[in-house]
Amino acid sequence: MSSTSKKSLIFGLSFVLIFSLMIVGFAQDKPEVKNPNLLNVVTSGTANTLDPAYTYDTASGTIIQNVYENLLRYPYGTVDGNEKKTEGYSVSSFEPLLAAKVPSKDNGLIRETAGGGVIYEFPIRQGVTFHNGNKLTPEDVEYSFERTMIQDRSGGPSWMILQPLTGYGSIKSIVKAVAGVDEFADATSEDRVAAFNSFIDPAVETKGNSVVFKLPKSYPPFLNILTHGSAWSAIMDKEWVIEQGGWPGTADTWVEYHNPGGGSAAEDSVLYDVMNGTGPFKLERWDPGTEVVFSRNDNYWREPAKVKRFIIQKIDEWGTRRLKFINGEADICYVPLQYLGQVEGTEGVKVQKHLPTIQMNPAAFFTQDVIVENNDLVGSGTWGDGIPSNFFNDVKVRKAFNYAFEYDAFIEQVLQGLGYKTNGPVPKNMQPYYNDDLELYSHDLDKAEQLLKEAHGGELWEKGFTFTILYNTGNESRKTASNIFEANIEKINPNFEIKVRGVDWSTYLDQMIGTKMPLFIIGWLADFPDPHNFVTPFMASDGTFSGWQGEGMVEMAKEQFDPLIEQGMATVDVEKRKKTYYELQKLAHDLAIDVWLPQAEGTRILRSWVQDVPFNPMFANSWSYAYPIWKGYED
Amino acid sequence: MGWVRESIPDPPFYLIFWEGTRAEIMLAYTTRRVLVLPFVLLGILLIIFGMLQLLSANQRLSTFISSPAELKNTDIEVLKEEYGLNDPIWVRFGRWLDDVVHLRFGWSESAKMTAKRAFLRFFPVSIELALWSALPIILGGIWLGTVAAVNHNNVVDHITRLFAIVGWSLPSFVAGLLLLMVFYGGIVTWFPPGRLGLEASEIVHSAQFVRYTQLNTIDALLNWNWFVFTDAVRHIILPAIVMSYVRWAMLLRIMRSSLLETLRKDYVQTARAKGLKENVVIKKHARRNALIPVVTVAGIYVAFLINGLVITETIFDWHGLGRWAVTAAQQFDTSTLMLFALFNGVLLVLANLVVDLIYAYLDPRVTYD
Repeated sequence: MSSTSKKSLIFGLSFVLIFSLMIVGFAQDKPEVKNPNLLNVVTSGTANTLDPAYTYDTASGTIIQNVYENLLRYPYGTVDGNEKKTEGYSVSSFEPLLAAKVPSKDNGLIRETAGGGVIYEFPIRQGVTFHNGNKLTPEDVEYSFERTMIQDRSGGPSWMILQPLTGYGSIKSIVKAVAGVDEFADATSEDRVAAFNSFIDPAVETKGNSVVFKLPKSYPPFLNILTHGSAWSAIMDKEWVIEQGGWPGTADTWVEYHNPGGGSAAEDSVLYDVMNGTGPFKLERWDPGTEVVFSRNDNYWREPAKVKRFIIQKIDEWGTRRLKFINGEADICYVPLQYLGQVEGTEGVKVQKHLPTIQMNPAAFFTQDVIVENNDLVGSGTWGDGIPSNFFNDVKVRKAFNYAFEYDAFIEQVLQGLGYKTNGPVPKNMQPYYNDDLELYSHDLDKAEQLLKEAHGGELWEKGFTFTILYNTGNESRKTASNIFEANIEKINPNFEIKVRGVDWSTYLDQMIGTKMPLFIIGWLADFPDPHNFVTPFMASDGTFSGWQGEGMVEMAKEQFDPLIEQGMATVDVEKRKKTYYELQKLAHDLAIDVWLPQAEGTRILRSWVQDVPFNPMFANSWSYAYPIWKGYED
Repeated sequence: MGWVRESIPDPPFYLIFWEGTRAEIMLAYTTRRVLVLPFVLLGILLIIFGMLQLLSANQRLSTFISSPAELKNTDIEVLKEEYGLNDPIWVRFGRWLDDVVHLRFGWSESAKMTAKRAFLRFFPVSIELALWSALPIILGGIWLGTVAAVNHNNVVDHITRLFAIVGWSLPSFVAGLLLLMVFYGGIVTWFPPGRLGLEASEIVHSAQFVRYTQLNTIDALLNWNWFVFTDAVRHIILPAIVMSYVRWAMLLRIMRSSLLETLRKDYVQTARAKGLKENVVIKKHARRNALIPVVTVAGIYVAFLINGLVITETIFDWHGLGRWAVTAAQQFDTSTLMLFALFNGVLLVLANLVVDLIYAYLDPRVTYD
């Protein structure tokens, strides 16, 4: 053998030897805490922006929640490594945060006005400073809300503040109404100033040491919209924002700061990558798409946070993320349900299950009066090798599909047993507005068969049908749900054929806008924990989903649902609202407007040395808020 | 070429040594090749833009609306007017061409920042990976090929080829994860994923550390910071191994067969007959000529490393071009995809040029007149 080949052999053998030595060995139990002063979370999902008035995604919301604060907060429970779970979280009661008191009718801080409007007064907490040292004043609060309202970027969250405070969903509609024109571009600058002066400015005013909100009419979820976890209501320092080049706060300049980047270029907002809040953490560094690093605010107005630094790292690849977590370098890890088995039972890792969630994600939607022209999802557009436009207009067909779904199998196999059946659209955990006594559809192919035989005067059964279900890719459960429909419906009659296709968002959007999808599967996460935030997209005639579910649905909504939806918002009385939302749920059930698929429970996967992780179903992520968290062992 | 030489005055004396030299010919050749570049790019742009027009206005709207929640209070038709999605095709192309010429590539939804900024961020990452892999790939491939050819048909040849084929067949994500599990997930954490550890990351982002190239290894050296350098190297070893290992087979085969052929040539027999040591025969006479086809392949290979390697980047959590490209494709991020097409066009033209020049350097008979 030549010397080179001898060398290669030796190299190869030593490699094999080292390899086999290394393959043994994992973490020990009760491992020593790594990096006790640093909390490291590994997850996937990129933040869009750091501007509270711009953000509408959970990753940005999480960052903002740790650095900025709101007037109120929800009480939260804790879930931690020792499986201690404290109740005490709520989504309908509040604690004061930057406000000194929670307004209520009893303490006179919520008052009705003569014209049917409502006033909310918030005394502002004293002695709070922003990270740059400036004091928190009522002017800062007024400015923060006005800024969110005038920014109103396309596809953004400002509507949630505009709606209750002005009665309009967008500032452009206010201008159009004031100017009496159809196009925003036709309004003069005087109109725009007038719009600001009559609607925006008076909506939020300072009054001594308090801030006063004037609502034109009752809006029951108003306090929810302001609560910590809702990034769009975060309180900023007016001076600092102006220093960064932001809106000076005057009526004649707001248009220049409206809709930065047209809603698609987040960078155009001056607060895109800088932060200055009152919260327990300061932003140290943001590397978009990679990581965000926070350091503790030692001048926090409450007791400072327990960890000195807090990092959120984005690692998309599950295998790599898992290694970092198993290794102890990461403390909290985002684990998709299907991989839970790979971390559960590992030494030093705790898995918290059965946490309540507030979402309807996914749900299956029927389109009544689906467009058949140029639509390959409906086949020929008539019975047999296609479906007619009014296929889902018959309630019997919709009910049949509800009976065809296999709810238990879905929970077992897709949700790993960590799911629950539910009616809709009000989520099950939104008490007291969810009717636990309303019956659920069950998997019953006999009933389904009977209904399909009767539907459409027997024509459906005789001639059979074919159509395609579309699901939005990026989510395994949606695909499986589609396949479940396919398998079960086809079992009933050999003339029934369903195809399943996954498409990317752009195609999906196209089909949705075109009202071309006979059955589509997609989901909705809560903006704020009030039933109104769910009944609107699912049942209003102009709802995010219902508005695209065809003529038949829109008519139905106008006649039967819209009045009830309005009724639900006309009073703050919980009992009265409960009755209304119970009625809506019953209608949704009896008319089988959609299929309410089983929902996933929340899980939390932690290293066993992570303690006091706060929990509230409304937190942007299942672990979002790092303030109370510390690392160590309780003894 | 038909030019009338008499009327041109005599060039100064140093140019006499330039004119007609190989260097002059090569320079002229290079210039011609580079001048072709804009036309190649325009061609690419037309094709890509053309393909995008197969999409409806609604589909193109998805660049601006990324979830159902954003449909609320949005008048779709107004939005389409605002973004000019309904304009005729030549208007849109003109507008887009204007953007490209001014280096405005639009917003990258997959990176959540402008495409230009994202490119400047991810490009150095891929360069660093390519740099640290290029040498192992080329040297490793050439060495293995030489060893195999020299030990033609005996055990060493077979082992070497087997080694390389295993590498070729082993999916890189399997190799990557296995290596991570061994060197990071087990008792040791020698070679972690990512580009830098937390401490080194702090140093690099501090005010004292000067960023020259955005490549952590190079910048660490330029800043005389040994700690950051070793940390960066520790993070790059595994990805470089995975990237190299998978590619050795190809280069090995080409080198091996090329060298075998060269070794059979007459001049090699002559060199041996002259009594030269085998070592010298191979290294000085045979190898340089055997390298010619290898260079052609290796050059393109390495150039396209810069494109980024999705799987390696994903497994080792390196945020480079490859990963970005795949995310953009999945999310239908048209601005990013356009930028990529352009980048690839430039890369291909330049890479081919460089390879041809190296080729000419290696083989004096080659000239580009």
